[in-house]
Amino acid sequence: MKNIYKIIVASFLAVTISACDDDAFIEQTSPDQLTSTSFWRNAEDAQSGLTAVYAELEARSNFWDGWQEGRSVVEYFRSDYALPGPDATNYGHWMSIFNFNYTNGHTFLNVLWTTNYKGLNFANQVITKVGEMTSDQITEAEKKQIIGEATFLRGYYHFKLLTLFEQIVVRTEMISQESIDKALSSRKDTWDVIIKDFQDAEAMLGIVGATKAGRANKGAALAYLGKAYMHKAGDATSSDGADFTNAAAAFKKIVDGTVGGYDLEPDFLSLFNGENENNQESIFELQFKSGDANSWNATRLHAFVGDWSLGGWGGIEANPAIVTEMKTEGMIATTGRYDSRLYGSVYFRDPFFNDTNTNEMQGYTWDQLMDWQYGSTYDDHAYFRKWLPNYVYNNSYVGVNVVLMRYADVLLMYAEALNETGATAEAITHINKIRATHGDMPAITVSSKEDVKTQIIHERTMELTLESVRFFDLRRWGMLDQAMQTAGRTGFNAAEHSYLPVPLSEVQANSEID
Amino acid sequence: MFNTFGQVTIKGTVSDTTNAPLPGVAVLVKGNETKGTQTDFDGHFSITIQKQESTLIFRFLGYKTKEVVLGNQTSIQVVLNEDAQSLDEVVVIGYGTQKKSDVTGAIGQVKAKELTAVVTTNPIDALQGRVSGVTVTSSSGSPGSGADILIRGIGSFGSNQPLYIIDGVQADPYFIDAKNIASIEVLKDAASGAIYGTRAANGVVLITTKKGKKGKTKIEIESSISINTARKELKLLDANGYVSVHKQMYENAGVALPQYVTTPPSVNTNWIDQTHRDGQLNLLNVRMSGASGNFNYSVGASSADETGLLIGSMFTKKGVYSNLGFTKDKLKINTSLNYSETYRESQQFSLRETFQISPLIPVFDDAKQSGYGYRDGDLPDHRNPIGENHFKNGYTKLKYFLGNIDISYEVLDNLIAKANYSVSSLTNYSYNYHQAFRVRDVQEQGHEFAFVSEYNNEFRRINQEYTLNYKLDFGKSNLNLLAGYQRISEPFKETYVQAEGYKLDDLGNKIPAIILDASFNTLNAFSDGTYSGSGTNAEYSLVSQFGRVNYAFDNRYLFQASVRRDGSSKFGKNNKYGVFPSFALGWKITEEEFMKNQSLFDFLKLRFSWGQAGNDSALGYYDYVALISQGKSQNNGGYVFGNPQTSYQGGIARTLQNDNLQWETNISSNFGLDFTMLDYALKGSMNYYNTSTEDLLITKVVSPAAGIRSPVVNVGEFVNKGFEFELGYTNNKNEINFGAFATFTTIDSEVTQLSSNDQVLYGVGLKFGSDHFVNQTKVGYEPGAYFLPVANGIFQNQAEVDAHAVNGNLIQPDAAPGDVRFVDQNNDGVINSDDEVYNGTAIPKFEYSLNVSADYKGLDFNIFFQGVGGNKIYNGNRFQSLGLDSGRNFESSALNAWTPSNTNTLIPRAVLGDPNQNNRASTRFLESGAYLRIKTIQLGYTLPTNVLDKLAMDKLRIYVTGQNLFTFTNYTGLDPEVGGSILSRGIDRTLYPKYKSVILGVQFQF
Repeated sequence: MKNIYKIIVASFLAVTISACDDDAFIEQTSPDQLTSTSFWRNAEDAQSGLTAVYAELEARSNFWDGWQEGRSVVEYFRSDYALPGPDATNYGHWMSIFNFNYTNGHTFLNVLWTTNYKGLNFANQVITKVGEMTSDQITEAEKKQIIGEATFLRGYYHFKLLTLFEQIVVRTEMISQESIDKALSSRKDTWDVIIKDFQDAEAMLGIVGATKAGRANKGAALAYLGKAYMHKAGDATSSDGADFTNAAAAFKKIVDGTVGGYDLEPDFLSLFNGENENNQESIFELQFKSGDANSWNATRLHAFVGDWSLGGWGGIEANPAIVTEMKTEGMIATTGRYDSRLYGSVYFRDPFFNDTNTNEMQGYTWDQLMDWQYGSTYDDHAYFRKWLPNYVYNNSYVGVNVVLMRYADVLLMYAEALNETGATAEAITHINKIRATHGDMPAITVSSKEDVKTQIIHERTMELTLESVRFFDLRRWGMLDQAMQTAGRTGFNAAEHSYLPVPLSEVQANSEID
Repeated sequence: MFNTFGQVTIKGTVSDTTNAPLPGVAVLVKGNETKGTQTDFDGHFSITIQKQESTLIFRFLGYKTKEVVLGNQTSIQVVLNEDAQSLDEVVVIGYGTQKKSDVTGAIGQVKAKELTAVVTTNPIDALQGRVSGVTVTSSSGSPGSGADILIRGIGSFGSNQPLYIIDGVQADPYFIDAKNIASIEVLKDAASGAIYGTRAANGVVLITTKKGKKGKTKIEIESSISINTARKELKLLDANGYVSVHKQMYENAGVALPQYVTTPPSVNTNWIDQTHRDGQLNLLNVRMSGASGNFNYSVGASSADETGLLIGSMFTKKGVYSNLGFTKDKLKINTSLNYSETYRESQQFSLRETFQISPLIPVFDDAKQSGYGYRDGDLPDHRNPIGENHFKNGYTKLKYFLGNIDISYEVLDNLIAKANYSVSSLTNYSYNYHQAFRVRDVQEQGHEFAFVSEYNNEFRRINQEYTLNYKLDFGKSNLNLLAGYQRISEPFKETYVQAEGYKLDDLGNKIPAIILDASFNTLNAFSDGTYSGSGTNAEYSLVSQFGRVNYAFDNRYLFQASVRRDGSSKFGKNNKYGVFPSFALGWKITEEEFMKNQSLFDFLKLRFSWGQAGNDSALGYYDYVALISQGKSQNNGGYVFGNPQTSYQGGIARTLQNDNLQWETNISSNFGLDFTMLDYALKGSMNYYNTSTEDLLITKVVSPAAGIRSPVVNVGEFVNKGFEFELGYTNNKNEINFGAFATFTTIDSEVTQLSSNDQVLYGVGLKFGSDHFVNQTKVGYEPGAYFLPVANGIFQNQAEVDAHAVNGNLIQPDAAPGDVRFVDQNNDGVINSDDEVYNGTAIPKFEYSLNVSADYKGLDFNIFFQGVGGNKIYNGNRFQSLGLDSGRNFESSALNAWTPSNTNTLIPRAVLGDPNQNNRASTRFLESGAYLRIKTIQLGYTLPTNVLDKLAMDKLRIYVTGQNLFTFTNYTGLDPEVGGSILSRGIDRTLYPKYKSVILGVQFQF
């Protein structure tokens, strides 16, 4: 008994002594994660932070409702040349985008908004935290490159948001507890922020040859600077007389070759099927690769785009009107057919796709596939061809990159800006270059400013179908109402549907927004 | 019969009302109470008395004292009735026990008898309706699922689960055998719970397990079988109904009819019948207990075996336990060990797909490679649940161990030092496996290749606790002092490994890996496939000092005060330690001189308490810092650069640092009254409480434009107020023992403060999380109250659509006859969020229960009613199951949808795309949640002693119980018992049917 008594007393003493370590006892740290204060130690940390900024591009971090379906439906379905695919009617929330009767609670709006703002949060962390790093931690050159890329991406995320939504919250500082709720900015102020970021980025970034594939470079910054001016020019709230001049000045540096040697890629199809990635025409390209043991950065966009007849999921169809539009110039290509870009952009019932020698429909002919799938020749249907690898039957993940900005787009925008500022003749040379290289088409015969603009509108359809430009181009040209009416999209009116509303989730959570 | 000295020997047996012998009963001679004996192990006694001594007194703690006039008898059978009213009864409180009559807080007590009336695999289920102010909701019928318990309303946006203390140590009651529980005490007010500091804000549930009692070794065995059937099943459209509703849907939208409507296949599958069945629960418990010399012991084992109402669902639970005690002089040692393991297979198919898949799809289809049917042609594509269930395998095993030893020693007179050490461990192992399969047309991610995964985690709790307890009586004063120190650490670790049955070919395409045999299903079987894994660990630690003073003067005036200081690893650096004080006062009015002459009250006590308790359960391990999260994939920060393409790791902070992060504080006042009347036949108590919870921890949905993850922050304040009444009545006459116990509780919950007065916290959006919001938490309303546009009938014709206008402009321009009319509250010509108005709450305004029991000779009967009122339920399945807007199956009542020839209906027209948004969140789906349920009804029979003696048994009772047999409600969903998180309370998304049971059971005792 005496012993037990001693043990108890001893244990009480032990407790009294150990009580001094209470503070240490309740100190717990993560065994495998740094914190915002212990991170940002060196160049590796800075690069890692920068990688996370890229990760939010095009909502790819939210794979299904963001990249795979959300972006596709929002950016493709709103085009007058798109129709819902055979599977789309099963998804009410896809159809509400197509029919323009979505609400501000729509999940795709929320996801696109949220992922772009994650990108902005990460970009601001990199810009601030890497900016605070000392020369012991990182070389000035690397610091400049990293902050340059982050600044470009900040411009890019703001640009995406501003072209999608009617008004946005501008984020140019690192988030703190105090700045979580912030008011919407005017579109004009937002354009200024975007333009400044692309200008600053251009100054800091390297040229294409000196930059790793996938990373932003001077060319990307200039291309988006020019694109921002083009959109600002078409935005009644913000435009000013110098917009086209400024746009042309930005594009000029790319076309001049001062920021690296960009050129058109002769094989039009190879721009979209994953077999010629990061090529000489690519200016900014969303990177995908098939999975490996440690990472997953792949896409299934082809399954969304591919029709049932091709083994895809039938998410989208092409409005047959696009075939008509693409055929307008007639069979005047050097191939003896229509503009070659027609065949590279759309599948439709045509001898080209029914040739049993070439079996252009992924190894089959149009009539074979349509008969198997639909029991008909489906004369009045058409399907998009871009972003499909050379096989669709395997719907699993693939590594097909998606070009976000390419030289042909720059040339066409440059031509448009030149034409708007009176340099129509120079504009025509750029148009003709693209026509020859990608379309096997002769030079254009029109020469007036108006006719050239009409030609540019046509060329942009020929060249950039299903590259997320059509709806946005129509808007800046003030042609949305007319185009939607032609397409029978009765739910549309430009006053209400030119921009997406600020998502309900933002209105609910942000006390600075009513 | 008298011997020469005028003496006589009386022999007899003393038993309780269930015929169990009572050992240790004092047998005394009336008029000469120094003379007496005790019953032995078998309840036998023998006493020699003088012939003039004609009356014996039988006295036993916890039983009513009985006097027996002998007359000429020399052999008697005495039955003692339990004295439920005994004021000397002891209740368990934090770090000790207290006489019930001395209690100054609000403490509810439930005894084993009530607890075991409910047949369940989770002892907490049995608390439902037993204690006023305690709400128990079991919102799933899935075998082995837990119950949701709420003490005095919602006090937190985080966990509202109380702190469970089992035999003095924090533990998990889910793994305790219900038959091993002697009593459950519920500490409802903060003053009673404050001694548990930062873990006590949601109330404290103290569970005391059974110990061996003096007497012969007792063996108890109980076995029961429950036959479980669905309380209700939803009826879905059959093939004809499906085609007919879809036809309306397409025609009304002006869209060409799909093939499956014009030429439907001749298939009619009832997917509910295919996936639902009757369930069964078998329970077996064995316990052996006793005490002799310095030792007491109680050891037992239990087994539960359940098949669920859905195919593929089953559950088993097995456990063993032992409680051993040793006492010698001033030393006491108690140990308890508990081990329990569960095995659970959930259904391997999606219930939502089951409710949506077309009846035109056959279960089996030889034309498909998998042999299971899925859509052909243009039918909507859904997963075949039977096929999915066939191909997928998965189970979860939990193992729980609790070991507890405490040693106490009386160091000085009345000074007891006590040390406790306990370890508990909960491990979880989950296994999932499937071969490559395809049970819907669009091949789903993850199904195209074989897959196996194993998940392990371990959650341990190591508790060490040292207390000093000192008692001092002087004059009319009684003083009791407690001081203590405690450390808890809770290490956690987890690992996950998965293997997928693919590899990459030279082009980087996924191709099937070689698995040597289709029956191989281990990780190693996938050696040609692709592995990935993850794992981490973390630890929570808490350090505390605490003390308490209890003072009583003249057994009339009671005073108690306590304080606890807690330091927690989860708090921000500015708030590492929290202090939680409390005090309480009691006045036993019946002890006053002026009450001695009244006979109305046998006992009357007034009490008041005030205290603070904390809650840190909403906090994660490291919420106060901003961790850098890293990943190489698209969903976690990775990106691809370079040529050849390489995945790079991204690392970034997705949260914000918060140095001020701290516990929630619950401040509660309680007025109470306890009384006993009618010669102890009627006993009652009432409480009024007013509780405010400050610094609420909430996962605040922040502006998505901040680009950060929603942080946990301290914001806002709740107030809960209410009355609680408990009334018990017992009457034992003519061998009929009658008892009734009723509770009635009112709750008034209000949000009194948020980070700003106009802040609105939204509940979950039922549609993809971003749309269809039902609940809003706002200052001045209940947490998670319903704010909805009001649906006001159906437009019967175009004139009504046109009349619904402001200044000639249609309020609902997309509406057509058959669509729902919504009220434009602010008359601004549009229906939008400004038209959402308050529409009540999911929190019942009142809850009640009534338990009536009676026994007569061997028969016993018990019926238990339980109900709630004043609440609403949002039927969160119906906007889909009666949505009539896109390609899926619907409830059969969709046949009653509005058509020009069927206008007397509440269901709007079927129309593809729902242009009028009939299915928007609105009062259309809001229903009354009031219900009254006969929770249990039980009839038992105990065989008489003379029969048992022949069987060499002490007790044999058989019983039949009906559980949840009858529910009276107008609610149209599966069941009105709906839980849910705080911000989204009362949304019924349940598809798993809940069951009612008929139970047959038998109890033996040797």
